[in-house]
Amino acid sequence: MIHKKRINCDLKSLQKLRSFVSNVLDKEYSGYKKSNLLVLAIDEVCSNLMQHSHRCNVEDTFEVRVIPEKENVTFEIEDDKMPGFDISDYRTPCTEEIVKAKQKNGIGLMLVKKIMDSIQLENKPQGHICRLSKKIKAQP
Amino acid sequence: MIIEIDIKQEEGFKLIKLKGEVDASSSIKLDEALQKIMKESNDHILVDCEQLEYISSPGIGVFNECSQDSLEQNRKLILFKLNDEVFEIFDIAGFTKIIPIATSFDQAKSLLENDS
Repeated sequence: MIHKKRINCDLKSLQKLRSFVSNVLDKEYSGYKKSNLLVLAIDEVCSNLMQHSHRCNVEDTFEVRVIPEKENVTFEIEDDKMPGFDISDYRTPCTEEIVKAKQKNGIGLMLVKKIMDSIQLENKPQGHICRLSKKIKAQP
Repeated sequence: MIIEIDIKQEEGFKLIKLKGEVDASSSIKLDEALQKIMKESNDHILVDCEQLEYISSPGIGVFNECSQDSLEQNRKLILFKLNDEVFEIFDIAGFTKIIPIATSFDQAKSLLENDS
């Protein structure tokens, strides 16, 4: 079963987004101990999308899909706008660079890349789909 | 409101208690609170994270900036009592080696005393 939710481009919607992802993961992978990190990764990608592609226009929306499989979970974020940049090809700064520059930005995508196994961007005639996957190890 | 910030003046430091979640939305409030403290006093800053349930990168970014500014001003920002999930996020981002993190209030205070 594919779980879907439409999200407004309002940073205040992030809490609802996290609840949605968390509830789906709890339901599909009961006992999986790293759900919090997957929730974080989706929060980071979506907040980035809201701020950089939509300038937090609360009337804009995009769809988040969670596609559970036995040993793999895929998240799809489908948006009718082109991405501000290609997250899959984006060189994230290292922690030392961020610290030295006292940056507030750049940490999010670094986290996403460390947490997820694969990140793909599919451009469409109108918009794009960001697809993130993670292998789920069976719980003992 | 998903984050509550309680600030108390203690002997030589400000004690901040966080309750709730720091994300891209609520990190603005945290940033404003820390900037105000940095501007108005020279005190060290201890942050009680026992009731901090979640943090994402904008929150880490706010602490990073405040920590680096503090070092430049010969003061310290110390976080303490992070739950396992919040600590893990700091750890994955590589910030457990950058921002001082203590397990308890007493340990946080002793980190201040050891350096003064």
